This record gives sequence, structure tokens and C-alpha cells, in this order.
Amino acid sequence: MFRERERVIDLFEMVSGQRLLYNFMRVGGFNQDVPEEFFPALEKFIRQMPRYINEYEQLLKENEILLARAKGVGILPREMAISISASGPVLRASGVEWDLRKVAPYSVYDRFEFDIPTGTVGDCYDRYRVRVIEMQQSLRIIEQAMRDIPSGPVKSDVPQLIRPPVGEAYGCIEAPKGELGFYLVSDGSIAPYRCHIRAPSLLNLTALREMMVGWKIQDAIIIFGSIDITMGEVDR
Amino acid sequence: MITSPGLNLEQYWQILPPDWPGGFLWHWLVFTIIIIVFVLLLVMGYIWLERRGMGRMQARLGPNRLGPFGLLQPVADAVKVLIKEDLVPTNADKVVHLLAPIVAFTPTLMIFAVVPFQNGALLADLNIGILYVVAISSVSTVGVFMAGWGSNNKYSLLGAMRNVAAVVSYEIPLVLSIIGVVLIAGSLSLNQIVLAQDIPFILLQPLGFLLFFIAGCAEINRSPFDLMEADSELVAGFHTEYSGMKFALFYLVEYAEALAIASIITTLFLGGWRGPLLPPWLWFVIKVIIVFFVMVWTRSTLPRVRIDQLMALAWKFLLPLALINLLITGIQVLAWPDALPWGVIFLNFAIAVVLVLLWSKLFKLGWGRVEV
Repeated sequence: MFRERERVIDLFEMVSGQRLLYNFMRVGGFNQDVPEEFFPALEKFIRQMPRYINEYEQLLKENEILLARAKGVGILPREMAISISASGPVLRASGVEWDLRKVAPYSVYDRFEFDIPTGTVGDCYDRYRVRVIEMQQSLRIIEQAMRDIPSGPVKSDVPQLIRPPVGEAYGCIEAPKGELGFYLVSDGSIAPYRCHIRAPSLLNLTALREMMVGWKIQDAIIIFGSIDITMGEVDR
Repeated sequence: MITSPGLNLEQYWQILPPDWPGGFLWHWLVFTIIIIVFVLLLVMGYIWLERRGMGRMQARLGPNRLGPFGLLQPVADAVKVLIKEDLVPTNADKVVHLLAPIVAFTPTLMIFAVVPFQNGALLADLNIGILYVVAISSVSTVGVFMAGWGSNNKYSLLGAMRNVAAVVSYEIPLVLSIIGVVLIAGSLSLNQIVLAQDIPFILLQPLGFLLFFIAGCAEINRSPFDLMEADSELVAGFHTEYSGMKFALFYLVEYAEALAIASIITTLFLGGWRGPLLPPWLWFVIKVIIVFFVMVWTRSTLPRVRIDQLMALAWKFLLPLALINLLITGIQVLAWPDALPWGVIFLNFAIAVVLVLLWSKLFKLGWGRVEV
């Protein structure tokens, strides 16, 4: 796993100069253009990645022990997944075809062709399958994006201090773990009056009880892992 | 005739006849030292092999700083562990907590008393050798349970409980698959079993080997059956509360047990010290390392099973197959009383494949959710 992660981080580092906190997006664009060695590296990565994914598929997709451990374990029914407002792979594994990039396209996502993988039962195995297929779909998106990317300035002329009008706004994107939303209330000054972050991990984690009761301690680990939470996102 | 690596025992044998008490004391002393050195050296080799091998399989480097290829890493680990503070939890049962590593380690070392490193080169050529191994190897479970109980920690106890359950269940297919070998060899002595292997028993007993390997892995808690110290669930299982020298002993037990099982597999199924060209003791070591490498390989490939699936595998899969294997072996030994012909090899391989494929369709692995 770390072999691929390392390659992705290398790419991020090329763009942002950082390996963990990729803080290069600005209001109105990016802080700098991508370096010229980035696109060849990305192309190489796209070429190699399917092979890595296939390797894991061979190892795990029909692994007897994985099937015995994950099939039917930690089922999150469709209605329950919707009512606790789960999002991302957890929701899709329960059979809901919901992806913000498709249902409410933002940015340039309406131009890309990709499928939304969904599960049928909503167990740990479905969540695992959804994630693997999403990796393949992400590669498709990157490929199209790389083909169509225009050249030109990367940052428009935005004043240093922005005074938004009085009111409130909510923007959300489809993050790897689910819907990541930012709710801002402005009182017309340079700082927001109130800011709330809708973190997908926290909301997905509320489904834990539904999935976990009645299973053994060992299943708790695999269920917990299949939600794929980041504790920093939960504990704010 | 007794010879052993680096030491001509033949000479002292002539000075001191074996029935003389002093002769036995010398024999005992020499072999105790050989066994301890063998175990310690190979355990270090094992730790290195496991960490490097798993590193390679997981696309990382593994320890590579100390010595060539990181060969001295186990030494550094040992030194680090020895100079660490020895912590005992406040509410622990002090005596049990102290005794547990010793109770776990001693039987593991005792197993090697009957393992032949070479023809006749063993501490005690018991005529009930393999029975002794089976009896002694389960004693270290008592040590593990003492550790779990004495630590006064619920995760330790949980890990120890799992271990006891696993050992009690897997002992049965383990012993049943040994009986097949004993039937063919006609002796319980490990040295005699090796001498009887003109054809290695892995060829005559493929199913028995498979069952023994799985049951052995489960008994010493190697992955995919490493439930007693499942690091992602139980912190470190029964030795969560141990540190310093006591922890080192448990670590040693873990690998010494793996070494013991690898030695027994080598002796029972792979022809022990027998082999062309190289000296016999080297053949023995090579085979032991190969068996251990297969264990490392399975560990880095397979995910962990659940406790009820572990039990189901023992009682629903291994036990019936071990019984069938015993029946078939009995019939074959009756049919060819002198020596099993070569054709039996193909027959037995076919039987093993068919039985495993058939039986895997017949049983259900574990249960589902508990209603609450």
C-alpha cells in the first residue's frame, strides 16, 4: 500500500512542495503553476497504477479469508445509511447512487466521464469493492483531466482582503471519504461571523452502532476500518 | 554412533561408556549447550529472516542499518530489551506474572531434547519421542494463560483465552496427522522415523503434511491464526503488560515455538537430516529454514481469521480430514506391510486434492451476527 501512497505523495510534493498538508489552493486559483516535470511523472503514474490495483485484486478480491471476514459483516441498510446522512463510499456501498460530482456537478466535473460504483448489501466487502472501483474511476478522471487541461495563468487578480456581502453560503465537494462541506456566515467584515465544517468522517461514524452491535470484537476492527475515518476529522 | 557439529563425540564415547553415569552427564551437558546455542542462533536468524522477508514482500526494505543486510538487528534488539526497565502492573498477581515467561519458555526448549540433528545426535533418543513432543508442547500454553491472567488486563486475558481455545482444538488434528506418519514408520522415536524415510513422508502423506502444517501454524499462533496477539485488536495480546527481560522471553518463546514446529515438520515429513552431499546437520538446518520461510510467506499473504472461524476450521475441516487420512493410511499400511510402493505417492496426492476440494464445499466457516 505504501508503495503507491509514496508515488502519490511524490506527485503532491511536486505541485505543492509539501508531503502532507497540500496547501496550495488560493482564493482565485493556485499559488504557482505546476512544474514541468509534473505531467510526465503523472503520466507514468497513470500507466503504472492499474497494474498495482490488479495486484491487490488478485490477492484480495476472492481471498477466502477476506470473504469470510467481510461478507455480510457490519451491514448498513440503505434507509439507515440515508437517515444518518452518511456519504461517500459508505453511502454508495449501501446501494445509493449518490456522488456530488454527478448529482450536483461543481468545477469541471460535468465534463468528465466516469461511473459511480455502488454496492448491493452494504457490508464491509461492498465498501471495500466500492473503494477499489473508485480508485479505477479516479484514474479515468485524471486521464481525461490531463488531456484537456489548458495552459495559461493560474491565479486571477484577487484583492488581498475579501469582504463578502452579508449573508450565508454553503459549498461542498465530494471528498474521498464523503461530502466535505463548508458553511460560512458573513457579517460583511473580512473574517467570517461563523464557520462550520461538515466533516464526512464524523457523520459516517454515527453509523457505527448500527453496524457493530451483535458482532465480535474482531469484527469491530474490520467494520471500523471499512468506514475509513480520520480521527482528526471526528474530534474537533 | 554419535557425532555432532564441530565436536567429535565418538572419542569421549570410547573413554566413557554410555551406561556409566558420568558418560550420560557429559552427553547431557554437551547437548544442552548445543540445543541452547542452536535455538538462540536460529531464533535470531528467524527474526532477521522474518523482518527482511516480510519487508521484501510488502515492498519495503526492512532493517538494514546494523551489520551487513541488517544481520545484527536481532542482537541490537536483544540488548535494547535487556536494559529496559522491568515493569509490573500494580494490581497484577506478582508471582504468576513472574513465573509465566519461565513456564512458557522451558517446555519449548525441552522439545529439542528429542529432535535428531543428525543420525543419533540427540539429547535423549526416547522410544516415545513424538508422544513426548506432543505432551510437552502444550505445556507452554499454561505459561501463556498465566501471563494473561496474571497481568490483570482484559485484553491480555482475552488473548490468552483465545490461545487456550486454539491449542486445545488444534491439538487433535495435529496428533491425528502425526499418527499417519507413525503408522508408516512403525516407531514413535523421532530418530527411527527419520531412518524410515527412504521416501520423504511429505510424498506419502501429502494430506497429513497439509493438516500438520495448518494445525502447527495455529498452535504456535502464526498468521493467519495469530489471534492471541492480534496487534490491531488486542494491543499485543497476552504480553501487553510485559516489558524488559520477561518480554524478551515471550518473544523468544514465540520464535522458539516456530523453530520447534519447523523442526518437527522437517523430522516427520521432510526426511530430517537426510540428504545428499552436504553434512546431515546442515541439511537439517536448511530444511528447517525453508519450512519457516513458508510460514513467513503465508503470514505476509493472508489476512487474519476470526475466532469462531478458527474453531470451525479445526473441528469441521481439519478433524474429519485427519480421521479420513488416518483411515486411508491404515488401509495402505495393511495392504503393503513391508514398504509402500512409489505408486502410492500419486494415489495419495490425488486423494488429498479431491478431499480438500470436496470438504471445503461441505462446511461453513463460522457464524454470523448474534441477536441482541
